[in-house]
Amino acid sequence: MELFAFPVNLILALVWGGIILWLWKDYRRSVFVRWFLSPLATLSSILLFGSGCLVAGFAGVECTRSWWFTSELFFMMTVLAFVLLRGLRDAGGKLRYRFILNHFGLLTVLVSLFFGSPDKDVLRLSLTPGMTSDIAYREDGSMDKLRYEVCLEDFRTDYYENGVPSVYEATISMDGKTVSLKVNSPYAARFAEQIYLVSASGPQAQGGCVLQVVRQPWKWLTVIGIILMVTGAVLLFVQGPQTLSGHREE
Amino acid sequence: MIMVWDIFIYFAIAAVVLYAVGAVVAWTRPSKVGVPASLCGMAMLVFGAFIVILWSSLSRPPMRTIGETRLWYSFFAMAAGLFTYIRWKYNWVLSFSAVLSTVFIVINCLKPQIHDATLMPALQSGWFIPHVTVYMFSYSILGCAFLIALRGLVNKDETVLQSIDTLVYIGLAFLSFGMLSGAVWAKQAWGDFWTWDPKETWAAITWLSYLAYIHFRLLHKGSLKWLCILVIFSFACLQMCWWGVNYLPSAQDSVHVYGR
Repeated sequence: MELFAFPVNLILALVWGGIILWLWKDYRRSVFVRWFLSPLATLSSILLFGSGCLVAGFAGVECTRSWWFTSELFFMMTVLAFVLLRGLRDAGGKLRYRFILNHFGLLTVLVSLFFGSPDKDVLRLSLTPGMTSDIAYREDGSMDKLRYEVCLEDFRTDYYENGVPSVYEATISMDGKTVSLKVNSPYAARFAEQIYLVSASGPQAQGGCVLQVVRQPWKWLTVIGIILMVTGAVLLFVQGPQTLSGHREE
Repeated sequence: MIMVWDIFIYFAIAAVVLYAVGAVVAWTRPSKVGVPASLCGMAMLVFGAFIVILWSSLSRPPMRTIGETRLWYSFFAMAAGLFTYIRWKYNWVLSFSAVLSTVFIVINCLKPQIHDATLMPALQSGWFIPHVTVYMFSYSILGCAFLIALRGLVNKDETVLQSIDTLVYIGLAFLSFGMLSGAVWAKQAWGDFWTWDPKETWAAITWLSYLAYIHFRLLHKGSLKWLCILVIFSFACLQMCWWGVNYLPSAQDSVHVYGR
């Protein structure tokens, strides 16, 4: 994955998008582009990717890292991009916005996750009260130095009567600020870098906790895609089953 | 909490009887839509009252365990059946949704599971209620689409496709919101939108399956038989996503398991 990290992933995304735009602009009537715009391509891309997910559903998450799963996803993204370009040109009437929001939203989410995943970095650090550290570790054991120091001021846990945890709350200090962390309430340390409270660590007497630092520079693109898709879903509900008008044969 | 759960049977019987009477009236007097609709509406009120009482006694939303989500499913199955009946006047749909709802009520009576007040930190989020209720509502709407598809398959009746289309569009819209709100919540809780956890994978399968149905219809492809089978298959995937996934060996380490 490191091979495809920034800027390689960005270059690949731009090249992929550029090729699609170039084909759309200059070779719209070619057999290749017409096939990608055909019902067969649309349906086979959904069914192929769905089948891949089905295999992963039974066999486990490892399948989603395989070359064939990645290829199916890439194929679906490519079909989606061509269909979106045609829709931007042709789609008319009151369903135009629904079409664009749903297709552009999904494409944005897929592109951000597909090309953005090599840039994602997850690090963990285990702290006890009073301890300061700027060293965090990845799942594979490799180490990274953070651009700031984190000091655990306090870690509080509460439990229900049956021993199920009810509250995890950590107070940390960093950048001269005191920050309260809870599960579901991360702290944005830098642009696209958030600190999460994951769990308690070690013997309870030590009162320590595990923090997780997540760097995900492409996350805002994912958020934009999600907002577009949610808006598209609202229109899907409001407008119901109607057929898009305005498509013309290439 | 145990005390409240003990009275569930009374609310359940009252709701099922009211709904069943409404369904029988719909069969026997097809012209009188108001009477069955009122009876089924009353059934929903009774069942809804129990959910409110349980919610109040637990001091948390009753949405954590599979048993608790079954409560919502039974409630929304009644609502979806009633909506379909009022919208398309199918006199048989109330009976089918009554059976669907009753099956999950009976399972809850036989296997009530845990109904304690605990709510682990990961579930203490503003996304919890909208995420679960929206999903349960979409499951119920798509349950009605499944029933109509079964009928279409048996009777070879092309006219059912129009009703299935409407239900699938509504169901998919809510399914999309459920999935996307889940992705945002996952980012907030665990640091990533999507990790291909078994539950997420099955959510994607279900979503893609209904998406395939919509595209088959938009592109005017597929026979009645094939389309009905696709809706039935999609509903099977939905069940897998909801509770079936818990029985898969690959899901034993899933982060989405909260008191099976």
